[in-house]
Amino acid sequence: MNIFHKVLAAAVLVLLAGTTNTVLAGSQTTAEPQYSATQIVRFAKGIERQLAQDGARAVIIARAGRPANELPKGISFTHTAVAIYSQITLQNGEMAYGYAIHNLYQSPNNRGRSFLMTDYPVDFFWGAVDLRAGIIIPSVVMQKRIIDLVSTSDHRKLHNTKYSVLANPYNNMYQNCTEFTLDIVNAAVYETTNQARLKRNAQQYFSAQKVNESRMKLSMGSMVMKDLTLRDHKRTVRTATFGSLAAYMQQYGLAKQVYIVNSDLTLSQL
Amino acid sequence: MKTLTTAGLLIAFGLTHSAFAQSDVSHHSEQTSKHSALAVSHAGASTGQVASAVVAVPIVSGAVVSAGVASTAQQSAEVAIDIVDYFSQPLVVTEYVVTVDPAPHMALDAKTLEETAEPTVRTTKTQTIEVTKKTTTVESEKSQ
Repeated sequence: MNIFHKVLAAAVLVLLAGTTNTVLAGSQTTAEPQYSATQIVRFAKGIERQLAQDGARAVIIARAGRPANELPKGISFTHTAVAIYSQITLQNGEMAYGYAIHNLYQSPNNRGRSFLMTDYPVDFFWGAVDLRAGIIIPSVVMQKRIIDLVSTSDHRKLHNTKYSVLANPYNNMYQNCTEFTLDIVNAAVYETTNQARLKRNAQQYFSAQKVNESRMKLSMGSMVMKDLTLRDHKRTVRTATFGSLAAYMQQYGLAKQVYIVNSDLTLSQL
Repeated sequence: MKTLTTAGLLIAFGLTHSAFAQSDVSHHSEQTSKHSALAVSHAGASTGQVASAVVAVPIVSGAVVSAGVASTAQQSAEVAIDIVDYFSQPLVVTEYVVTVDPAPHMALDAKTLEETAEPTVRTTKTQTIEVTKKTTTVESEKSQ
């Protein structure tokens, strides 16, 4: 085995390790649930009951696709969406009441694209690697406006199908789940779905999370990953995160409560 | 050499991508395992009954809808109180474990099984109850 083969073999080994690590991220297509069905149901139902007890009708909800200690600095959650208290028609014809979650999901067949999908707490937490939830309960006025936006399906006008995992929330070139949620929040604030206006206001008032990875590393990644591009970024790469969204909503009085639900259903501060 | 370059790029990026991967929906295979696992957990009576949702409609109350048409200051104040009350009241959530429908092939399998089953084993609900009773009995015996 010459030196080239040794290097290649080492590279493949590390690559395999890297690939395995990637597969475990988020609720990946091939990931097995990290918790039993019973644990996930208890957690999801516990959150529903907590929100119901708080009288929350529209909520920003986030899950962790990776353990907290493996997430980059400043990032606590990997997927964010809007949950709305709804009347749910079941397949057996019965009516049930609970939370429906309005998500932007990355397409499993084309990772550079996204689609909108409504699911429910058990679906939402099914592939969570760390059973924690981030919760923002918006102010009463904001809840009403978010419900209005979703019940009229106007939130769909905010969807950009071009997906980038590190989408820049200050322009509309690409979008990820948290940017979509930010757009919903701002559409509710300004009562408009005009993208240019929403992005102008995001630039003015929203502080996106700086991504603490080297530009070179990110650039290399964007060469091989369909769901990452830096084309929408300037020198510093910033993206919307649950934490930056919570800070924004608290700063401008848009949030009534912000907390984390831990795996044992205890609450803690973000 | 090209392979090595690609491998190097992926290695360099491996951790970064995994750290940020976020908006994946559960794939069909995962959905299949989810519905199977939920069915099993329910059979063991450890969770509520699993039910697939057809549609979810956000609930908006009359008081909240009328908030935009209050004509006087007093009316506005009354409506504002209504809204705060409305958004503070505890809500009721179903005991069902609501979930999205299973993947098409799994839905088809269930339907096919139902159609081809013998009349005596056709009622899945009865079977589930029997399993639940058996489990309960075993647990009772253990606890004695």
